[in-house]
Amino acid sequence: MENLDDEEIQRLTEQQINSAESITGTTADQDAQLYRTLFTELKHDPAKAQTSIADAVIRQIIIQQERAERIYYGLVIGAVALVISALTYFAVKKTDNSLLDKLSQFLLDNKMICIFILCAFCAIQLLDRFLTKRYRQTREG
Amino acid sequence: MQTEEEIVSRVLGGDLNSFKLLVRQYERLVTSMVHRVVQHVEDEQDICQEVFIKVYKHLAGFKFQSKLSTWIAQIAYSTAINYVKKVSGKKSLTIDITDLENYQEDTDNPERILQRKNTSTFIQGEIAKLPLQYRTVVTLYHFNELSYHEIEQITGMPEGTVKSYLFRARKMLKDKLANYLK
Repeated sequence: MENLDDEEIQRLTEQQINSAESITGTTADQDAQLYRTLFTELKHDPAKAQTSIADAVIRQIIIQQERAERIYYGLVIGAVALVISALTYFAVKKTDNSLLDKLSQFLLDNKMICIFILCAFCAIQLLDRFLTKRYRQTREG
Repeated sequence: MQTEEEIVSRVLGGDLNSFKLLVRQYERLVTSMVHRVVQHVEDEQDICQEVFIKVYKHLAGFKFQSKLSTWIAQIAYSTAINYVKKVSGKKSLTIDITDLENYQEDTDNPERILQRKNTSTFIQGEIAKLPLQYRTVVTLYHFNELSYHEIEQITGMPEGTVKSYLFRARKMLKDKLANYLK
């Protein structure tokens, strides 16, 4: 055994450990004993998961799916609204063109009110999203 | 007992309970690997979750060309390595000669030796101090009981390199153990 190098000792010791052979006199020198101790210790992993992360992973996936669905439905609603507006515009233009002029004039006359309504709507949406996100984080965290 | 194919097809069909089973089945593999590579307790759980979320998102792309465990371990390895790169600010993580020198020269003072309860704790501590690639192959080979070929698939290191790293890591650990037991 004394003539064996570390590579050979490692190989023999690993074979012995795995086949649970008894320790023979020839392998009982210091290096082999050290490798045997090392290999025995390496059979036990103390780094085992203390608590399962499965529930946390599933929760994360559900949150991500909900977020993706919200974005998807938001886009669908936006597209539908756009199509309806375009159709309405063309329908009105075809039937009564003066109605559009009246509408344009009304919007121009009250442009500040229209801008205010639009800004208020955007602010409410943004605040709603921001506050809901913070509320969720507080509840989960 | 469901086969891997059955579990995967159920998950792809939207069955989250099957995915929960899959997570439970492989979380030991993932946590063990992430724990050894990352060595940052606060972030380990987040990284493990990130690994399984990636698994869920990319499961449709898994073609059963390797074992599911090997594929999941691949994702865990790359996620953990990316984290280490991000934290260390290094672009590549080749073994640095100074890492090895630091490891060889790192001698324990009596106070630290007293703190160690037993040989097992000592060895775990020494594994944690090994260079990243060495402790990765030790973890995959010994703790996760993967073959050289599987380790090659997971880490991308050639089989010869895996064997060489494993040999050197075990020799370093043996030398440390010899000093400890003197």
